[in-house]
Amino acid sequence: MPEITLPVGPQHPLIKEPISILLDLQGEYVTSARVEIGYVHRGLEQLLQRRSYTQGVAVVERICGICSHAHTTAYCQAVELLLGLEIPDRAQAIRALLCELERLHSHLLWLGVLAEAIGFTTIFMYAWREREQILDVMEMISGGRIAHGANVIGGVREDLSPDQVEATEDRLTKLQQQLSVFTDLVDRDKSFHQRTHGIGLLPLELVYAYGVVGPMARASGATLDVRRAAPYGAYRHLEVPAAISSEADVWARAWTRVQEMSHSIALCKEIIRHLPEGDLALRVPRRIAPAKAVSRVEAPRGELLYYVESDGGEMPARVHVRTPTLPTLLVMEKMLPGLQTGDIAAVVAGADLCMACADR
Amino acid sequence: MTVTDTLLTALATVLPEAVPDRDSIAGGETVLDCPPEHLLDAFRALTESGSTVHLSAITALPADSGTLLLYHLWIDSGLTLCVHCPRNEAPSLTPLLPAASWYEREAHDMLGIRFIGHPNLEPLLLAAEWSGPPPLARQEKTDA
Repeated sequence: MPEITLPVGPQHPLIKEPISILLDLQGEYVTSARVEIGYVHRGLEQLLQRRSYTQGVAVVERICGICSHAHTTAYCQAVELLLGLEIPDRAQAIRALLCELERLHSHLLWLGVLAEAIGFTTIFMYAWREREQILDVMEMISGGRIAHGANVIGGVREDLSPDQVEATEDRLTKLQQQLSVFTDLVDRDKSFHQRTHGIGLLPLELVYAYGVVGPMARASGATLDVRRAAPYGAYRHLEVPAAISSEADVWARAWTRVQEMSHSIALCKEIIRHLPEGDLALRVPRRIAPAKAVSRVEAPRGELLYYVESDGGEMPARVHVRTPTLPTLLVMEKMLPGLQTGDIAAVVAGADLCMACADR
Repeated sequence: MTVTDTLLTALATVLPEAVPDRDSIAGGETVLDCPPEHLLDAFRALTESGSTVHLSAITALPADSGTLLLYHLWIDSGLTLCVHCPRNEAPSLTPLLPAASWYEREAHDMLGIRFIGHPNLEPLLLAAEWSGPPPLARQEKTDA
């Protein structure tokens, strides 16, 4: 049978962002895959060198439309490290609360995308319905659904009122009840199992060799979670449970994320029940003496790294961003060969790709 | 938590002159200078020490002469290998550790660094038809 090359993308309905996957097919089976990115490269690292540290917060927030708060947290944390600042406890708690809410809405979004890719539209509707509830909470707290504008260098912009705390806890309790739909899905649903079990295997050796991070790596047995390995901000006072599977398939990625959603709800409740009193932000100088800092945070998709260097001026000398999607994209070239064409959608959607993050 | 003494001992055989520096990069990073010719040996020493070496990122930045490459690793804690490349070229880590592949392609895109031994040093983020200088490379000032 002759081999054909099937171009998937750059524009395609699988994920809503541009990526090109060139698949060589032998009949129904993938023999090799090449991934090409860069379609939404905006030169943001260069732009950051031409904006003040404060303006940079708005730039990094626009790197990603899903984990925007993780980006501003990592960036602000790096700049605070340059300044040698320890931000107030209340600001740390509000940052972590938004980080966990963001993880919840990102995982729900992902579950919906995966469900749609395997033809399970009901779960897509349920997952995105619940995601809206979380976006409403984030909007109530910060004023923004996607770009929250919550972080500033030195702390956070807005406080949490007692009413907001109550409303947040109420929504989280409702989501906890709804989560049983998704735990049932991964634990018991036969058609979900058939479409995801044993599909898109990613052995632990490949996770290590390709530097894969986040739920994708933890679904293959890796343990790295920055919140546990190198606690930052409010995570220094929180017990973050581990959600690790050794199944290494699309099902395990769903199981890991559903577990993490449950953990995130518990963490959010823990944070708001013990919300420290105090200031929201510290005053920071416009110029920063020459220094270098590396900041790692656990974004919804895994370890997000920022390197920021100052040279004494009002703008950073260099900002480098390594997003968690990059290693996942790279390892896709190893995961796709051997698959039947019908399973490609489950594996690509199940990888939780974010092209805007990867391309910057 | 700092990089374990075992790792530093393993690295000391390859980089006898390197002194662990815990102050130059804030954020709990241990920094070690590594000449480009010893980079691959340093990685081999780290992997042979039995630890799981996670390459978080490679940051490339222009230096006074050539380029500076920062290999940000996570091995129970943050470790950054600082490699100064005076001729704007470095040995590719990709054959040893595939995770380096796209980070090296990106550094090649943005600063024009040549990674000797990389299997496919094509543009990653820039368009194939990009003909300008590497966007983040230090531009020579010309008298207009």
